[in-house]
Amino acid sequence: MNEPTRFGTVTPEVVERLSAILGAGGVSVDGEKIAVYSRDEVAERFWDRPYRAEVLVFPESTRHVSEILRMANERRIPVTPRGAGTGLSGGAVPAFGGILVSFERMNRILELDTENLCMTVEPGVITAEITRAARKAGLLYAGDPCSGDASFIGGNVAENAGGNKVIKYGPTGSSVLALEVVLADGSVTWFGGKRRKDVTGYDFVHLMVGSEGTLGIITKIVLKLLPLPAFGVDLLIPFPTVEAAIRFVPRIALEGRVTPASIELVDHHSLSQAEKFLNTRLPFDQAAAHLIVQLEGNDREVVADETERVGKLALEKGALEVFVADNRSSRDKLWKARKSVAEAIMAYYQNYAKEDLVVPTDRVPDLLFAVDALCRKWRMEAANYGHVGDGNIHVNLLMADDRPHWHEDMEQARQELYETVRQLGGTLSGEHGIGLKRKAYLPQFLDAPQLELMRRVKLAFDPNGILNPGKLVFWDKKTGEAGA
Amino acid sequence: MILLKIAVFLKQVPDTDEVRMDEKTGTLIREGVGTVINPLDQNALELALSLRAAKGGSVTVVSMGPTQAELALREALALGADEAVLLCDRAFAGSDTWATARTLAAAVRKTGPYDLLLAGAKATDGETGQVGPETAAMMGLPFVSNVCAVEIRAEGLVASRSVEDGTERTRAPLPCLLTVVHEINEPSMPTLAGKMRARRAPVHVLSAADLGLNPEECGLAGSPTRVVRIAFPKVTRSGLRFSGNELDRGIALVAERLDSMGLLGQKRPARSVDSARSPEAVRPIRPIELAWEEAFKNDPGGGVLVCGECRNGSIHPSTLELAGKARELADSRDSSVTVVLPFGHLDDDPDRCIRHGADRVLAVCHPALSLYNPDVESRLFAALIRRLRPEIVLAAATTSGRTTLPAVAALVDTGLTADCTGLSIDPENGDLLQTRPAIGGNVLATIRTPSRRPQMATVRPRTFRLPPEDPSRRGEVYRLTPPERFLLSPLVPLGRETRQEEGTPIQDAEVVVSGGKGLKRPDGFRLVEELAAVLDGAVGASRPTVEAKWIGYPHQVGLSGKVVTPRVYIAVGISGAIQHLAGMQTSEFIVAINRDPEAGIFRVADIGLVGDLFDIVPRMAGAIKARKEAQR
Ligand SMILES: Cc1cc2nc3c(=O)[nH]c(=O)nc-3n(C[C@H](O)[C@H](O)[C@H](O)COP(=O)(O)OP(=O)(O)OC[C@H]3O[C@@H](n4cnc5c(N)ncnc54)[C@H](O)[C@@H]3O)c2cc1C
Ligand SMILES: Cc1cc2nc3c(=O)[nH]c(=O)nc-3n(C[C@H](O)[C@H](O)[C@H](O)COP(=O)(O)OP(=O)(O)OC[C@H]3O[C@@H](n4cnc5c(N)ncnc54)[C@H](O)[C@@H]3O)c2cc1C
Repeated sequence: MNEPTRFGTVTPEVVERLSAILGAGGVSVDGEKIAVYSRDEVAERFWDRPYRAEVLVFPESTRHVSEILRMANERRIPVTPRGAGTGLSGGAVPAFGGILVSFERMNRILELDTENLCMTVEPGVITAEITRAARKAGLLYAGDPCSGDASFIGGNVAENAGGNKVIKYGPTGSSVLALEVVLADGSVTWFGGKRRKDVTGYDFVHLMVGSEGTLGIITKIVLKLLPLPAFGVDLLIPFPTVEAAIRFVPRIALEGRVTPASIELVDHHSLSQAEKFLNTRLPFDQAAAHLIVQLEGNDREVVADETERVGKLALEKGALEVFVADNRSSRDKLWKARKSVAEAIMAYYQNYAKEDLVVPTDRVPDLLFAVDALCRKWRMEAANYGHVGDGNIHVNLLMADDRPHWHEDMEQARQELYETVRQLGGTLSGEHGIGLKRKAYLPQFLDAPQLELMRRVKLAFDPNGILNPGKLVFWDKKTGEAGA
Repeated sequence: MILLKIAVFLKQVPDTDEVRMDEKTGTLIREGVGTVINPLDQNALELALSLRAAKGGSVTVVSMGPTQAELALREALALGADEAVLLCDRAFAGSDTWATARTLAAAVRKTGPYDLLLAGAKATDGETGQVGPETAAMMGLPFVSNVCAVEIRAEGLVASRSVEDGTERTRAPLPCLLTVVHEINEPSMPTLAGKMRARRAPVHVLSAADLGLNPEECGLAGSPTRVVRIAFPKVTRSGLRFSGNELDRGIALVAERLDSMGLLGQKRPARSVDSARSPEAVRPIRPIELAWEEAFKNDPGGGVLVCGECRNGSIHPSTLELAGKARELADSRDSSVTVVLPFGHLDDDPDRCIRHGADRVLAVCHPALSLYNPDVESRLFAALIRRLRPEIVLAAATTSGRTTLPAVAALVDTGLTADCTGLSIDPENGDLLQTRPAIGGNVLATIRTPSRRPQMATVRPRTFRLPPEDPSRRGEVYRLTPPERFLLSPLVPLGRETRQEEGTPIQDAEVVVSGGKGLKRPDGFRLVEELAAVLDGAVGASRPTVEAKWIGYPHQVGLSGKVVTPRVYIAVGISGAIQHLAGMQTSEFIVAINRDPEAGIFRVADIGLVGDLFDIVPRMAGAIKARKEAQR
């Protein structure tokens, strides 16, 4: 990473200005506290060096954010927004120091509008709280990342987080109707509105979605809600091979004639990590892979019919058994296992690469064959799991703790994997984002005209490049990064 | 091959995660709230299915409930149960545990006979754990509660039951009833084939008339207890903050609060043995020997009877707490307090019960009583209650109290309120008002036993402060030897094993002291451990300390660790990230120690101490120790 060249630094006077804006309680220069906030869920040892913000701030309103940005823009001080820090791409890591903006105090649900089926929230609301608030009103907020008990909605929007219900409802962006955004110079604007259609101008809402804090800072979000299905059921289906599991996926729609809310895959290695972590067992845990298929609807009998149809089909297609979870205790058990795979792997392995690959759904088996071959070649293991219904597989390459030069080996293995992904028509990240972690690989997947276009978009929004520098976009031709 | 005919009691409970209250009417909002099979009943069903798989036989599931309870029964059928019986009648509505047990007993008689009856140790809504033992006692069947392992033998079975400090093994004949805890197995998930079969299988519905029950004996009409009031305990945090030279005051306040919560009193019975032996504590009291058959034949009746507990030769502290509380209740009724102490041998001084408030102590002693046998104990207590005719009977809500007392209540035909945290006398009519938490602590219910006597309650240990001993109190100690017929029992206790002291699991501890990244170094946990030791508490941890391997994963509190609800949670050097709060914010009393006044942990703390933990923690441990010393 290049050293910051022409960015301004946070002087005592800047801290004073920030305190004047936010009050003393809204600003921290405590090194230890800054260190805690200067990272996300990417382990710090994966960076070339620790990155630290110079000052940490806790705005409580759009006005606060606007004043912070106006000042930062004048002085060319980098500003990194931070949600809950559950990101898996280093997006919230302050790569060039400067001001780190935590949204934990902008955490109010401002309005639940049942007439227009939408909810207006601040960016620091925890995703699961939105789900709960909607559910209380008999409504569904469809965003459902596995980290939802922790992540902030602002982070979800900035990353266009996916999750478990993408095949039916789309990623976070599909639920976003409007955004209040503070632009780099401190001006405040609304993109979109409580409208289901809108062609008045560019679709800036969906440009902001997934922009990882590089184009503007999101201060309010209007989310779309749906009627909450009355009944849900999860099928847990063990398969003798990963391939059989994946081949079954398209059959659900084609022959089963249903669109499940989710189709998740957990391979044997992933499941055993989760079982160890949770000290629990799922049935048939020796199987090569398990699918979780979620069906939902408003009529118990209809859902039961669909369950039988999909279940029988699975058995015809080689499933070892079909388990049916339709009450909270068994559904929770199954999802808890699914959702803790990521943490379990981090708990038991030191040397891993956590990939977020996405390929056309019919190429997933090819991808996994390639991963197998790669594992043999590089003498490593892999744990694969993820949202297989949408072709998004979290491939985790795992190397032994005591392996010398694991870092270099991993880098090469990863390069080979990326090459395969590209050939399969896939790409680098489906939902975790580019951030700091994957930026260097971006040119392998996007061509020069597109990279150039991204640069121009970035500079149109943020001419001084103060917004989350170091992430997602190459905007400075000379240095490849900072310095206007 | 033994063919086992097994019946499993199944309760459909509201999904506690979704429980909401109508604040105006004080009732549960059930609309839109999902239901689940009571989790421990699933373990009971799993046990039944695995026994059937091993020994052959059949499994019948029985549920009393509204028509929707059919769903729970169908789930059981899907898991492999052979038959499902739904006890459904308007007349059953409003049943307390006693009326429920009666209805279940009638159903068992009607659909049985069975070799084995199984139930969960308690349900997540009522949390009484009384239905199993009451049903068994009403049917005259032996029972073992809190079972964590079973072996079927040629002659009956051997069950291990989990108790506070380990396990006890008991041999029981068939037929008998077992209530199970979750350690016993991992419930399975139904298969598609099971679901398909269950969807089409019949569920037999039986009404009060089918069971030969008179509507007066069922439901609300047949229930000895009445809920008179529901309150919603609001967790309000006092949110006091102390820093700088205010810290001493804050620390003193913490110690004071712990004391008033009864957490600094004597805990280890061993200590009481010492005081019993120290010469100045012992007054020469000569027990009055009484012949069982003649004892208290002409007792005037009335008063409060405490069913005491002795363990390893000493009187359990909860018995002394209850003696104190009983004194208070008796005083407002102008009556007397009797404590019954059953034991095999005793190194302790029964007179301590008198110094804590009793008027007389009945030491019921026989070598056969050294190992716990609920069957013998419940019959002994029931016999004494019949003779002494007390108005009120209290026992500690320990595993043994919560096992024996339901059987006693069934034998003497009266209601029982489980696990009370408040007891008082209604000034209007002299009834005992029994207050207890329910539905995961979401409500506090106040219960009365209007028309039957005695009024019985088990009381959560350490709810009432141990009163100071009053050396001037006088009373009588009687010694009774129960006749052999009481000691003949179908249950044979085989022995007990105390758990190796590797620290209490954090979910079970009353006090949890947790350390976070603020401890700086792995050995920082020593500080936390020392404070925990002073409080007899368990050690918890935040995730980064577990990740850094300063401490093991079983200690992790939070979203991806354990959820704990201790009476006291002390967070040391923990910032209070939402994922950590998710694991501890429902603790009764929270103390936070952090040098950052903005730390999120202070938002949930009752008392926040702002400063350096390396300074505060030792001072706090010192202050608590000093206060404990002063107690003695
Ligand atoms: C166990 C685990 C499971 C996960 N499962 C999933 C999953 O299923 N699907 C999925 O998609 N992701 C998943 N993730 C990744 C992560 O949770 C998501 O990317 C999430 O959206 C990040 O939210 P956050 O609030 O933690 O954001 P942070 O990590 O704090 O920040 C993420 C990005 O958002 C930017 N940002 C934050 N707030 C704002 C704002 N107000 N304005 C502008 N930019 C902002 C930051 O600058 C940064 O670039 C998982 C992570 C973990 C640890
Ligand atoms: C998906 C997911 C799941 C998670 N699950 C959990 C979980 O189950 N449990 C959990 O705990 N976390 C969990 N986390 C992590 C959580 O987000 C926080 O990172 C973590 O709780 C912080 O731990 P901490 O408070 O010990 O450390 P820090 O946040 O580093 O806080 C240390 C604190 O110590 C204080 N301190 C430092 N020195 C001193 C001193 N000398 N005296 C007094 N105070 C001092 C500091 O002021 C600071 O507040 C999870 C995160 C994710 C993304």
